[in-house]
Amino acid sequence: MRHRRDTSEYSEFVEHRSHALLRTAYLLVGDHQLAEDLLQEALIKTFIAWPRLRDPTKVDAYARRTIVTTAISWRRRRSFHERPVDVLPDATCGADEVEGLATHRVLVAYLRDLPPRQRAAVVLRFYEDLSVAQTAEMMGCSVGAVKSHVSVAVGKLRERMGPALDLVPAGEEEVTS
Amino acid sequence: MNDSVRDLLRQGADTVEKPRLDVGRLVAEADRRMFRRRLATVVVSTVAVTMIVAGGVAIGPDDRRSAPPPVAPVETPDKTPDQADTGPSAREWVSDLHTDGSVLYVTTADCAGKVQDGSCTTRGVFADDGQLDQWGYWRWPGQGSLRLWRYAAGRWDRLTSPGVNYYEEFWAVPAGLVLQVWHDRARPLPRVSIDGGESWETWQPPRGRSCRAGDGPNDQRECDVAVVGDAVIVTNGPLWMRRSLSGGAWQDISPPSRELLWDGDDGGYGILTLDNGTLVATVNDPYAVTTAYRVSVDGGASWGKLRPGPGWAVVVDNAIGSALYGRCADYEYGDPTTWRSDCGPYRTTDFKHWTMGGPDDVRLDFGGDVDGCPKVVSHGSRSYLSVVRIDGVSYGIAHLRYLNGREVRNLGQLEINDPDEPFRRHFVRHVIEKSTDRCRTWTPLP
Repeated sequence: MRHRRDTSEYSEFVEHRSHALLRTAYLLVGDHQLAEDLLQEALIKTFIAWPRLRDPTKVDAYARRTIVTTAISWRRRRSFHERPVDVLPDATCGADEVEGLATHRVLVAYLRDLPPRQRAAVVLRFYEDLSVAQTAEMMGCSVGAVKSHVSVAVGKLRERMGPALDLVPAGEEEVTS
Repeated sequence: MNDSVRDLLRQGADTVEKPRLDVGRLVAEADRRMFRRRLATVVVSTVAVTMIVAGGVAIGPDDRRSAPPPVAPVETPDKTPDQADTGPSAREWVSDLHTDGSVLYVTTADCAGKVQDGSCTTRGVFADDGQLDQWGYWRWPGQGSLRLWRYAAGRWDRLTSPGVNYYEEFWAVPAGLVLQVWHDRARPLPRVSIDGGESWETWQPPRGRSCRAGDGPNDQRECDVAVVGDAVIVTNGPLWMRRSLSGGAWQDISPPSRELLWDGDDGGYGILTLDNGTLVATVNDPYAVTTAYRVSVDGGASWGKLRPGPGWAVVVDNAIGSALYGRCADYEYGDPTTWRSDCGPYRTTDFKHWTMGGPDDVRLDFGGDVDGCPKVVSHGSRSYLSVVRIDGVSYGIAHLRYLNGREVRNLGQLEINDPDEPFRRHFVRHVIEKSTDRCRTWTPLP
């Protein structure tokens, strides 16, 4: 007896949630095409896990977490393989490259330079508005690790974008490790 | 003016348009992965995975009305005199190296696009018969583009093409050559040569059964192929059969039995072959964490007891040389194709005691060693893949390496995302090199 999969429910989920998920994916990888690849990968994994997702309300969180963990593991895994690149060879994003871009594009560009876990922590904390505990659960790491990732990432972003950038999540006075 | 990072991130995210997703493709890909996970026969050869589409051969339900004859006609040789003895041309892509212990066999494929300065530029498409599917699996276009070469005593010989474009696995044993094909809907059957690649035949299953490749119709199921000694074993869940390479009829053999472990479990096994002829029957639960295996040292005539895998969610799915490998699945996230970097790989050679590999093993991506040479060798600006060793000489496919930021990448296969041609791919031709000092120095093959 094969696990029953409700393709129609899955289709509905993809239709309604894929755009929001893609936005998160984009912030995590900083590239539209890679983000689509990441979204597809996460949606495939979500469908594989569909029979075990008893609670439909958790599907979105599951898919989101899969995007985060896949983005991290992609980076980890792909570094050992031949892999797609945007340009050949692409140097890390430098100041000259981002000069003249809209501020949000600059931030995305600098975000892309962060290690994947730091990037994920920033996106989850600042874009998804998750708490430290929720971010830790989403990333599969400890609360302390999240605080550390955010603290280091914030320091790097401040260093590159200047102190005027408001990097404190809503409701919090300070981000510390 | 202070910009809120939250606002900036949202502005950045707002540049993302709604994706156009084909749910049918997502579902089909998920099913395909589940199918393959159950069989647990993913080949972890770097070159094979990147250059030759992974897949399988299947035995489907009985179909007595259309049962094919036991043996198909021999393939027509396609080598031409002007191409003999010169080795692969600059237009050919070196796919993989194999050996039966005395002869080097090389598989190559035509560059499907434009060749210039040693690179091959192609454009991928999503069609079934295209070059690159939606999931990034590379597919060589064109009919009969896969070529087979033999290199021995400093001489190249172009052998007869097995008549397939893609294969999953290639066995070279003293008794003959066997290909497990992929993406051949017309004849999704193993190809066998018993004369060193001079001629090939397509093997059909016995009357009353049918076979298909892993990407065939979903109402038929995949099976595994293993080569041990002078025989080929084909498995289809609990149905196993064997046939001698040199001919004769298929014989049903008794596979190891076991209890059913999960919903949908048919009691079957995947199968792995070690270089010394040891067979390992593997059980990997596609839904959860059950992994187990049994070992046969007599070609499948008898089997040892069912042993649990080396740890929780450690999938035993790879055999290199005389070692059996397990890797740690990230099942927490529901994906049996995601692997943890903080665990494994596990390795055993006595099939009882497992050791967990260190970072070097992870770096080698389960490449293992081949007679003292790592399967993936880094040397200067190059890395060598698919290393085989014959009479003290190591042969490997050389990739240029370059630094991209903090990452070291192999310049063997590149996909350049071009806004105007989003699936254009640039490839750089592989070069075969040899080493006589256990992979410390390398020289190109003439």
